[in-house]
Amino acid sequence: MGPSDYLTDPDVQAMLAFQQGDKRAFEQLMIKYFPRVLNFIFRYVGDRSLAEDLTQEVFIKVYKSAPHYQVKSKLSTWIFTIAKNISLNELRKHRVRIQSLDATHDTGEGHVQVQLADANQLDPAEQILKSEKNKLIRQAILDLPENQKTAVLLRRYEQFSYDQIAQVMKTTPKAVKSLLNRAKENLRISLQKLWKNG
Amino acid sequence: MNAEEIKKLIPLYLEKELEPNEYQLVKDALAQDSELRQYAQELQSAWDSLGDLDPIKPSPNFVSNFWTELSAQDTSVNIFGRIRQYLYNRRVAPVFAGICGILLLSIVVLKGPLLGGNTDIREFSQLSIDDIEILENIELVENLEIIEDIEFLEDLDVINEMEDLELSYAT
Repeated sequence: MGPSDYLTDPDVQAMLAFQQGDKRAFEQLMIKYFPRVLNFIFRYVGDRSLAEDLTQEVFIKVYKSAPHYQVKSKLSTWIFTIAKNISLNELRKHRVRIQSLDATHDTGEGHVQVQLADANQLDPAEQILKSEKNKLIRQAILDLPENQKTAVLLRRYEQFSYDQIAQVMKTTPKAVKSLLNRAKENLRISLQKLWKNG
Repeated sequence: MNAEEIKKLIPLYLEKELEPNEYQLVKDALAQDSELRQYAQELQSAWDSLGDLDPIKPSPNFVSNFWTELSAQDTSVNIFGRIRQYLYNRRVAPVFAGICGILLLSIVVLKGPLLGGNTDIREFSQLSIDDIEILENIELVENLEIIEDIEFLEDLDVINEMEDLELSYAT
């Protein structure tokens, strides 16, 4: 697929508008992608505070890269490539230990658990169950090898195609399928507790 | 195809990514083998349960935080930052440090000879005109004294010789 195939992507159009000086177009992109990138990075590194900092870094990089931006892929592919690289660099540079899911983070209003259940709809018992389930799922993802984690997060949460994932990871669609197969097997083993405990 | 080979195809079967003949093969195997069925169900359940994960929400003012952070980064890029960046990018920092070191060493080593030769000149330049004249005359006077001494000694020699001659004549 050539650059012209991506020009129909509305996000690419917004990026090109920003390149011409339309800052509002950039803000619209940021409002759309910031929560997605934040969750991608949070599931990748397991630390909320770090994820927020890294997400800022992603968009600063997007902002500063605008003058040199060239249409080579869908904008989401490009943005998540930056997010993946920044997350990976952070993990390798600082040897960030996978966050224990029992750790808390300070919101300024007191310490809260990392995962936030929807308190409005569940009774306390259900809240605890959901919280435990979330904890198990997050840990299962964090335990995956980096490549498998990237493929799973992009496939499961961003609905990226194999081609898109291959572009982000600079590999082939066939390799992505193989990665996902191994990741699913690892997740099956990690999450067996879920259906065994009911 | 044995059970292990079928197992490897199950993830792609679940994603409907198999060729029609392989898809049918796996489908038939699952219908006949309860262990394979359970394996497929576990794989699917694990994949589905990822969707139960609650997303986190960004802080409400993440847009304004971004502009603040961007502005802070821009103002911190000053001329020294640019120079430093240039040195790092061009990898001349070690060379630059080496040159500075050599210059410093040269200054320390050559400081004595350079400044010592000029000491007399500096001191002389601080004298007044009268003092300078006195100094010049002192030299002159000293030379004159030396000359006079030489002349005196020469005369003395002559006198002594004459006395010796007279004595020799007398005898």
